[in-house]
Amino acid sequence: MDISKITGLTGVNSVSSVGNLTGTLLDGESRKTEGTMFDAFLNTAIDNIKTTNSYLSDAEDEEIKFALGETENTHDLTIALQKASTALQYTVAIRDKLMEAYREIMQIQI
Amino acid sequence: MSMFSAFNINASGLTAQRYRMDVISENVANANTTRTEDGTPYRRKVVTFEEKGGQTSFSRVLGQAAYNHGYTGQGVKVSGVYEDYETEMNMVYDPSHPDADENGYVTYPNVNIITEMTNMIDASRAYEANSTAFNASKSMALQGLELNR
Repeated sequence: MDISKITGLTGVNSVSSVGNLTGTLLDGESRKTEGTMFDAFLNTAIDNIKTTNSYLSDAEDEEIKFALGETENTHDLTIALQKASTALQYTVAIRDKLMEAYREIMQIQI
Repeated sequence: MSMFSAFNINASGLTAQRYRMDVISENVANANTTRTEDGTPYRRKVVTFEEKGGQTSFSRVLGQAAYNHGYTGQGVKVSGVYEDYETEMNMVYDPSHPDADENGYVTYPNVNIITEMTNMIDASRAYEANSTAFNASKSMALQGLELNR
């Protein structure tokens, strides 16, 4: 979700709707040049899950802080939860699409 | 910048306004305080904000240089809390007060309750504005998912 994507519209980068997916997608491709495309996508999805997981654990940390009365701002917990929820929704959407693609491939008639 | 940069910027705004509210409350609470730790009457405190743009981490600086980002703001931060030496202190004649000077005048803080109340409304409205902006950012982020359907 960078400004560069608006100023310099560069192919795949600008099409990808998930900000942190863009970076990992390109990384995954450069690392796995000999691998298949689907493999690269799968790796990207797994990286995405890791990012989402870190947001979820951040939210959990905030919950604990709130419960212990260590939180300074009332909005800290809310924002952490919203971030985690948004990230999770994106990850679930990507997983659904990935599974759909996998199913499509498996249904190819030989 | 992550996909949640808007969230972080709004969060910084919320934190800054909450802090400003703290200082305003402090002013209101001490509107009649004639003695502080150093023996002088309380002085009204003022918060100043500044733009948060410190590119601290190496990866951030590298990223900015590599992708030639036009502008990457990071929100707002409190630059400091200052005591108000411009407004005159309130002198009230009350010889029976323990903190009265030799002429019988007590120096009350230069806190004007009306000014503080105005600032308080401003702070709470600014907090509200930040929270509205946060909700807008969130619905925008979720709107991106609708492209998927």
